Amino acid sequence: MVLSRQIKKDSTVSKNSFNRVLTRFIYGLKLLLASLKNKISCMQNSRMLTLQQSIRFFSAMLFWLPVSVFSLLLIYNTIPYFSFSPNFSFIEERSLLFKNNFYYSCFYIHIFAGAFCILTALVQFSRIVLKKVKAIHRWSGRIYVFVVLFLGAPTGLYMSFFAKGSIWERSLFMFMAIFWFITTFYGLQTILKKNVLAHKVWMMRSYAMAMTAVTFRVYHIVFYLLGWDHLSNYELSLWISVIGNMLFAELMIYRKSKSYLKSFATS
Amino acid sequence: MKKFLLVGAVLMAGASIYGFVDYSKTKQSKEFSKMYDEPSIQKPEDIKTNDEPVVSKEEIVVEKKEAVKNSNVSKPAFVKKPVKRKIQKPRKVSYESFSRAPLREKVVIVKDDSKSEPRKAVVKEQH
Repeated sequence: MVLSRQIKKDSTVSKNSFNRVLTRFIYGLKLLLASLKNKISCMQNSRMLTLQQSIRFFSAMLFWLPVSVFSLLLIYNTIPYFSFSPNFSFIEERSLLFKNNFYYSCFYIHIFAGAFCILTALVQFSRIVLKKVKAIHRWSGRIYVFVVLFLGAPTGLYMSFFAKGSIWERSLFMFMAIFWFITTFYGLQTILKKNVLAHKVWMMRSYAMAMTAVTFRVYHIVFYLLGWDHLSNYELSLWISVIGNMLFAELMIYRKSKSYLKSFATS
Repeated sequence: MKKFLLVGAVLMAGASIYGFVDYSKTKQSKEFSKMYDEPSIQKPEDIKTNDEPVVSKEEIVVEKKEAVKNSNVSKPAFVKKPVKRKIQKPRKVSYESFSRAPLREKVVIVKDDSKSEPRKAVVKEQH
């Protein structure tokens, strides 16, 4: 009897010890799994971060690469105009207007101002320049503002009266000149009041207006290849470039600013 | 700051007023109203190939006279003029077309002499 009791005791002890070992093993496994999970989640987070960063980088490149290429192409194509030769189809078409000395000088001032603004804008939006060499940003910004307010916008406004197309296209050119002037002025005003956020927003709007020259040419070529006749192609490209650029700028501002309506603040 | 705005505003106002005055002056000239008119270019579908025979007026007169005099005169021979074919080049874009200037395709006129050489009218008489 005693022996049998002893055996029973031993078996229960062994069972208990087995259970203990098992529970400890399971607990250990759980801990291991948890730590592994934690590690994996950590790894996933870091991968997600790098993925997000690379997506951001590539999307920025996707925007800035064509923008800078087309901007430089526009400037490259503008340079021959400074030979002051009348043998350009743009000038030949408007030969009557180019007999007027005022229009003639306004044209050359305007293309100089436009090319200059597009070139400086490429520098202005560079984060590297802004962080490392602030002086460049400041000085090129001052020149940009001067060129827009006193050269680009007034000459553009004068030339808009003689623009190609109907009264609507001329009105659109006038609107562009006035909008360019106002946005640039607000950009200056806000930075003088040290409101950097509002300055960024207004300068984005100003740059969107300056870039209509570039986007117009892109649409113009696309519609030409699609087989549109010249006048309708010209008008459509003009409207799409202006409205499209404005909408794109507003979309970017909306995405970046916490309260969109405050982006219209000028102080 | 105010000076900037003042100078800029004066320039803008001056540009708009002078632009309007200048525009109303130049608007009256016929050259200005026709300045942006597109040159009429025949589309490739509209260009007719010269397949129909062309008979010169002199030959018709001669034929009529012959017909009156002699009923045995044979039919007039057809005289073809050299065919001018307009070939529209396919639309190509170069870096130079990245401008506000009008983009137009080039039309090349090719004289197709091989197909239709001018022939002399031959009048056959039946004896």
